[in-house]
Amino acid sequence: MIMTKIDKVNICKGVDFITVKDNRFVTSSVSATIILPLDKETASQNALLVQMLKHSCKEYPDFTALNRRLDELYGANINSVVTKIGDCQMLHLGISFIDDRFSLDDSSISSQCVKLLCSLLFQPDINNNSFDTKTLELEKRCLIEEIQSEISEKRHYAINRCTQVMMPDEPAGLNRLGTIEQAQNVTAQDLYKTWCNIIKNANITFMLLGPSDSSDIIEFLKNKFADINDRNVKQLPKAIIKEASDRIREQVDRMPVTQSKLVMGFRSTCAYPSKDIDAMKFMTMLFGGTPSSLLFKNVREKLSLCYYCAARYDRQKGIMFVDSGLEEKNSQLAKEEILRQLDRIKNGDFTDDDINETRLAMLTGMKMINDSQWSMQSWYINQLLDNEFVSPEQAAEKIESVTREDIIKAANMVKLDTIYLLAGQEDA
Amino acid sequence: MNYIENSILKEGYYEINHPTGLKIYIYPKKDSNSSYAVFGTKYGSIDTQFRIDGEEWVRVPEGIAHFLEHKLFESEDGDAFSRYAKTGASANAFTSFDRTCYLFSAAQNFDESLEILLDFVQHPYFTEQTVQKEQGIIGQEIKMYEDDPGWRVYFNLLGCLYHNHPVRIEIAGTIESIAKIDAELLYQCYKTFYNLNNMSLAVTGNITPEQVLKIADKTLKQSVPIQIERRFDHEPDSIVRDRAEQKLAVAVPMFMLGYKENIKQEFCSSEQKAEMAILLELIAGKSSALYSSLLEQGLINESFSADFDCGRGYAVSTFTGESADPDKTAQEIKNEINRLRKNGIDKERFEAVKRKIYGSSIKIFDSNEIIGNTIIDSHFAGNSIFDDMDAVASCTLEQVEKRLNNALIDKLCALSVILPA
Repeated sequence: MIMTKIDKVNICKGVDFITVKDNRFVTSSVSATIILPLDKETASQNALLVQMLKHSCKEYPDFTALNRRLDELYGANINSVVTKIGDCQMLHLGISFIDDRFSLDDSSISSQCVKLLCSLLFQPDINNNSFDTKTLELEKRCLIEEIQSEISEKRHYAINRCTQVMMPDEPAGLNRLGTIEQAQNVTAQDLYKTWCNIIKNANITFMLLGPSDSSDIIEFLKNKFADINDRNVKQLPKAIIKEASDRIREQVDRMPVTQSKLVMGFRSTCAYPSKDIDAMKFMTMLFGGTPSSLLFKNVREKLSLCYYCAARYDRQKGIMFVDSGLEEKNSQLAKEEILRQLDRIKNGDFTDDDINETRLAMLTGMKMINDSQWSMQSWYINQLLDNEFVSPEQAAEKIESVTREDIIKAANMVKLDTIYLLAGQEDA
Repeated sequence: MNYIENSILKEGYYEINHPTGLKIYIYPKKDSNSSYAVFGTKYGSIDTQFRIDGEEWVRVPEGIAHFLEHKLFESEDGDAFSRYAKTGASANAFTSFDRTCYLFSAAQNFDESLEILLDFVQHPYFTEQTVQKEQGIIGQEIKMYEDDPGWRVYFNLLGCLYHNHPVRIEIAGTIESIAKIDAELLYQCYKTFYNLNNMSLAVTGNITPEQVLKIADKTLKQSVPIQIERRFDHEPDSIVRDRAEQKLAVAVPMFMLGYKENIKQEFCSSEQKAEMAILLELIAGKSSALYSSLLEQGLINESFSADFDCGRGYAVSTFTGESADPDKTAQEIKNEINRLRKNGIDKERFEAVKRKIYGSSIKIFDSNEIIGNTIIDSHFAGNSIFDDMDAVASCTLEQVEKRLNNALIDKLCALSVILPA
């Protein structure tokens, strides 16, 4: 079995470089991940900054020039993602590219791509302490359309709405991209300040995965950050962990849809660094994480109520979501069945086969992580708030030791908090 | 057993004509932690009219290939998912216009998992009761797609471009068409298309040919070669209408501008795919003048993309995205295509874009899943997984210019729009 070899080098205060050297791949990727407190005043600003950095730099000041450069680099791909982790906002900017051995003219694709990513991050198109206002207006429109378009993906939209309803007073209840109003108000000077502040004070993790060598970029970053000697890195806020509210919150939104989406939000106080999170992960998988889970076997296969009914667990917030797409008239029946299946786990009413099968499925998932760069990248990025990295192999060992009692205990820690239903219009 | 190696990747695969009639491909990646197997039949949603060995023509309800995919997972003694649960494999299946594939990934117990795959696909079991149960589940799958604007915009477009070809019908069929499906019809389709001579198996990852063949020899049952004929109702070269509109719960209008292309042979060749990939990138890729112009005019956002899709009897090039003004955006795209046709393609731009597409064709070799699926696609299209890459490398400017003169024709183009309800 291929083991992940992960090297972590500290560049300076708050800045780390992680290398996962792996010669099996034909591509490599290099990225910077920045974690900031998720705040309603700054969320849109941060999201806009990533958009601006992604689309130009001093050397390639416009979209076309930058993309023509990427064509020359054999279709290297710049990607950016803005996500939530715990009560924080995570900004991700990266480049992926094919390995140097495929270069048609002996020039190094990797060193040119690394240089380009560094230009995007450190030499943005800034004049007089301000980003370009015309480009900013364009990016604002795109960000606003992205926020508006969240409604197009009904399954995601319903989970986002449930999150909002469930966590009105927690940063995690905010939209990862902020709001349309905030986006409209951001100025080119604000963005410059945000950028300076990130370079100077934010937690940044660089990561290289694949066959490429990381020594040059580490050297470059060490020099780059050596100029910034008074880095003042603030501790990131710890995720807020709450118990379920006494009264179950309920929310129904109506819009012209054919299929209803049911989302149930459960709370537990079991969150990182609790010793019980592996049992909680296990319990969630057994409950609704695989095609042999209780939800799949019963809500879908037995009652024929839906095409999907699944459970997922957020170990930063101690929250579990169950979601399903169904007929509105069946939503009560589905709710009852979902809770009934959870009660079964709470009461230990599941077989040893259920346990063994869930364990095998989880082990397969973990062993497969190393076969995909994308999975490996997400695996480590999702641990950036943790005190130390756990490799998929180490995580597999922890799963091996979860027992029936642990699963029952975990199930008894979750309590229903919020029920959200996205449904069709009543007169329809 | 043949071994075919690619000189650039320094990787390759084994090709085996199994005595049972099945074509087997094995692409070892010995350093993988996992393995992937995909067992496919050249049978998809568009195969609604067929006959075997010159017998009577049969017409079956729309959505039956997909229905059959769901039902094959069941057997008399439980479903395949619960069998896979014992091996830990992660299994799934999908149906497209022209193929149905059953697949799994495994990081342990590969041999047992492969045995399950080959076994359940070869053992159909349907009763009226299990068929009825599935109508509820698939009904919800169909309804899920009805609310999906990205899916609707595509099928509304195909409905504009095709008079009779079944690509215009959704892969899962409709609530009405699946109501007509019964056990007997399922058996009829099964017996026709799940003949091993019409199927292929691809295995990638940490496996050896000997290992795969041992399971294949044990599990595969001899299939008597049959002659399958498929037919489509006559499809005129023209389009049906040039515009479709639907209202859905979206905030920003969505559009898809599509061009029908009348390709005369059964499948597009790798050369034809390479030409169109390069051409669409030249017209509407992120490095194109059109992309930045549309972006600056406020007509598109980063969801904008162009794509080419082709299969038996259909070929469509599409430009899709979100836009406050879909009609103006469509007009700008059409103008750019015509301008390029008139002024010709810049040699330097052609070379740069070709390099990008060459890079993209290499990237797929990082994934066991993509390799396996591409092997099956290539097999059914009558070529090899390396052909697409080679076709990009050898594609010339003249080829692309010639293609531009014959494809992306105004009168074979339609605009599909999803508006906020």
